Amino acid sequence: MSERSNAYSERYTLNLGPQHPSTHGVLRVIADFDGETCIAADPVIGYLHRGIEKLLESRTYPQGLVYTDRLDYLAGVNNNLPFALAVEKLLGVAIPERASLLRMLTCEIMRLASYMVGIGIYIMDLGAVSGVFYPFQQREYALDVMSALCGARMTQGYIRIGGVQADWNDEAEAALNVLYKELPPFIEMYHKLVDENEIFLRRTSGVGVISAARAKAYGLSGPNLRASGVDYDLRRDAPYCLYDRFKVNVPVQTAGDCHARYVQRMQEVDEILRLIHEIHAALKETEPGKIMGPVPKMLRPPAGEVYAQTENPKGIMGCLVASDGKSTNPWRVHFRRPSFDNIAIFSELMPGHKVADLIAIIASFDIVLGEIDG
Amino acid sequence: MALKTNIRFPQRVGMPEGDPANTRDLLTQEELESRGILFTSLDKLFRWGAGWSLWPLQFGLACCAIEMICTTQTRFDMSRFGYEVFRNSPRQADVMIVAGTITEKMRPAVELLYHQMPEPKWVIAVGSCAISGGPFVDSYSVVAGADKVVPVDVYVPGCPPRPEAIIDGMLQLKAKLANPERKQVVRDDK
Amino acid sequence: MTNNEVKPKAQVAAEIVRLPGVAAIEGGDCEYLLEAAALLPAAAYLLEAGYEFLADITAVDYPAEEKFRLLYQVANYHNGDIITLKLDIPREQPRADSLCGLYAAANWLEREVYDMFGIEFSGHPDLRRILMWDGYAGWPLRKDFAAEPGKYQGRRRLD
Repeated sequence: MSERSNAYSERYTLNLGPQHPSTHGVLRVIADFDGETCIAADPVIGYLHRGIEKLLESRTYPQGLVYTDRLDYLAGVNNNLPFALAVEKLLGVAIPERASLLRMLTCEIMRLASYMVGIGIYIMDLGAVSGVFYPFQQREYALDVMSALCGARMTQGYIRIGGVQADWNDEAEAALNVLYKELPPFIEMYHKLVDENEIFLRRTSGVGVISAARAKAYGLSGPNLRASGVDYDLRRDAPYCLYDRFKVNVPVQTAGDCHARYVQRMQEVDEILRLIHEIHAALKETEPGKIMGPVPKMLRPPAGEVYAQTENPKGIMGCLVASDGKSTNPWRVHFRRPSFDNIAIFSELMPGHKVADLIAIIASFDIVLGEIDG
Repeated sequence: MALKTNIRFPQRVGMPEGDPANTRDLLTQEELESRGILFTSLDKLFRWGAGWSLWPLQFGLACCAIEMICTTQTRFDMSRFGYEVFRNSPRQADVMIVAGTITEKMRPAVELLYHQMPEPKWVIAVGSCAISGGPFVDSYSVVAGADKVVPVDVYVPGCPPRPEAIIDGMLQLKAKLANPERKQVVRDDK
Repeated sequence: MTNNEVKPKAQVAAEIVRLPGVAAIEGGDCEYLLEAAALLPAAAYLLEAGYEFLADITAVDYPAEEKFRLLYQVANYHNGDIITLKLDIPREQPRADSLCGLYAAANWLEREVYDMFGIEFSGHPDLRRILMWDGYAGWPLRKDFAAEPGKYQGRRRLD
């Protein structure tokens, strides 16, 4: 800063994005700097605003479900779920047990895939580009399971209104066994590679500290919230599907800085793997075949406004569905996107940090722009 | 008439007799090609080199960008073909891979980036949003295809296309570079 | 209320209807219809009762009834209870009070509602468009919004 030394530092405005290697998509941050220290930051979004909520008003309910994958495109099925749950609440239809277990299993597998991207891109943005290859290879194993199960790697559309698209099969079983074999040695190796790395520690410790009170005020959710000390996970505290049958352990960090957000995600990866084992075991005990509930071919849900929430890899995703009772198209669909609320805190968080810290902060939040812009 | 390539070459090879100031005596490109073997094969050499080392511009917009990232990772490994050098700055890139939906808000940025890229440059449209607007074609804020904004050379269909398909698109561009005289190139044709 | 306690849903249901202008919606699970003046007191009451998580603010357009319906989903960081506050505002001059003084999350949520519907929030520190660019004309999520003529509008509703 110019007060401490005799150096002259200049005030200027730096534009980060929308085309930038480290903004996780088309995020733009207009930041004012005094020398190297940020004094104001304004995230500008909307560069991927595709008008999904308006489009869904001119599609039928099952057609609309396909669009939900494109929100958080790193974890396709996780986005289908709140929409399906909301419509099923309107319809009042019960889902067979096997379908619920398949929903949970695929959501956890894609949660793992999404965390792998979050962890890998985090380390790549900090400069350690070779670190990105290891988590992405694990993501490939998870995507192998999904592609054996339903044919699509990324935007699957697997969770349908009333159940799921396809039943568990042998190829998916084989692919899941490969994942079981490959993931634990990777986790151990990645801990050894990154945890004690001095550069990583110095770049992320004490950077972007969010206190629990500010996190709660801004409506943060997911790993970002839990890294700031708030113990809240919808799978344990407000279980949907059949999560109340399983023990969901929720790790919590207290530091609230970028390093805590990394540690939080790594600890949650262990929990996800354990949950996948348990859900898979429960799945094998149900009888194959019943994967769809009694849902009519033409969906005309009764009138009402229903809001359903699920715990997504990025945070809490909610879906409001308003139906007018007569039409096959929804009257209004709104998505509560976790990354949208998560990055509102940037304008308060970034000032006071250096240029490089801004990148560490954005990377530690693990955002996805498809979801922010909707 | 043969299609002109992007690569200009000084037209001094095989100059006709007569007053150089008289522009009617300058030869056309085809006449030059028929006279100067050197001209033809250097051009082909440049195109061969460019085809094996396309430098993409890091320009992921939406979901297709993730499959593009997976293409550079260990399983699909785009660097086998020489294409892993993603440049962050458009000044250093020669192919712009439009991966994802172009929205009206992003449109000026796409155009600006395209104009900032130096010649010779090409564009690959990856995914159905970049080809035609995809599932969002009737949205109020989506541009119905990258070719409404920039001239596209290769279209890779899919939603999102598998990484193998994206590599195929890059190889298709290489085949297009190797055959500049064709309007449409099928990759396995000789 | 300290950060560690939250009032149970039944207690909230009993106390919130005592505030003037708050009426419970029958058939709904903790859904309340508010009058315009009751929004800030109800939100302040919920914050004090431990419901610190403003999950969502959104609006639904009912042109037949000439109103916008604002929906506020207020939750807490302990269990899964969600209190839904609904507020009907006239379509001609849509305005409401801003919750930015109580919940910091309201800032961007209200900007999105403003951008999509044109509802103005009085007391908002920085009310400008968030998803569309500044200077865009029109409120996209209103039912009478039409993009440029000639642009393919998609299938019509099957009524």
